[in-house]
Amino acid sequence: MSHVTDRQLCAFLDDVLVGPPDDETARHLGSCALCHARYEGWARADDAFRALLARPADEDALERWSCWVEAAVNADRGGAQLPEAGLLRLPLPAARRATARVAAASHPPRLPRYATRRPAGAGAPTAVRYAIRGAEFRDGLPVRAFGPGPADTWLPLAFVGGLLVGVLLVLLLMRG
Amino acid sequence: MGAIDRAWLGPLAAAQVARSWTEPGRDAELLIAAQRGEREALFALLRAHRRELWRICLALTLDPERAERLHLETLVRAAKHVRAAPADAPVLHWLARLAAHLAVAWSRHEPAPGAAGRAWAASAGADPRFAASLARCPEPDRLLLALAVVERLSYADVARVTRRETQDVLRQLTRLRARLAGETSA
Repeated sequence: MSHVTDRQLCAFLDDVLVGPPDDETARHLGSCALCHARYEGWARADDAFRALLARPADEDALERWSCWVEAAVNADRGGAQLPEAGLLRLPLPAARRATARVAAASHPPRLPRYATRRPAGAGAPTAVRYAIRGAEFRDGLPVRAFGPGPADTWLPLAFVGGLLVGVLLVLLLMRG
Repeated sequence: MGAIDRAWLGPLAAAQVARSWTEPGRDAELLIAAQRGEREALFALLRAHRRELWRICLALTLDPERAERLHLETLVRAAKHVRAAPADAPVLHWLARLAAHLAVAWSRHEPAPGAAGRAWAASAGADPRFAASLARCPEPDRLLLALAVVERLSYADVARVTRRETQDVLRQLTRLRARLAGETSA
């Protein structure tokens, strides 16, 4: 028998050959070092590919994905739109979620961008009015961003003055 | 060598002759019910084939993260277009084709999985040259390999899933094996 052809070797690996062709190929591979080496090489490649894909699937992940698909189908049939693949918002695995939370918490809350645009020098006209109370943050937002400016302090005085004038007028009218 | 050692096929590979590929099971009745709009039947159908589909997605992408996206997208598309599933062929064949079409479409718009695929294959203990050769194979070729080598389908079944001629399946598998074994370059 001449050497095993590529197709013969391929068919032999896939157990497609039956009867005499299968026996002859097996006998030849057993006696021919050249063909045997090729057989070994091809079988190794098959093994490597099989080893890559034959690892058991993560059943938890498969279950989670099935649930997600079912929820998406239910949402779709209820009138909502199915998201495209790029927009899939899957719940992150617990480990990744924890990491993300720690990473977010490790950053100090950012000041509002408009505050940085204001002049902050001592002599700047708007420095007092737009002073940021940076220390007071709740849920990442400033509790109160702006402190009272000089104009704000006149408002109560004007109100009290107006009240006094009103009382005096009422008294004068009662006397008259 | 005496008798050819076929132990590498092993009990694992034998166990992987998946029921879903070769035995219709309840697929036909579930598919008819799903096409009538019964959600429970649709969900049962998709759940029945998720393991095989996962392996196919992994073979098509060579990257677990992309495989996850492909798996989900395939299931969502299948649910959406279940009425288009052929009633006279196994559901898994249709799912595998859907996944392959999506993977080919993605590879046109997203960078090929080359580096990621090689890294993943290397992390799984594969020879770097083998991993590089595998990553260079186009998606339809990797589907062909997965069906024949991992799922152990007959050439006739592989031809049915991939809609090729049986002789073409043998020809292409021969070419791919020679390339992966390092006998020829891409």
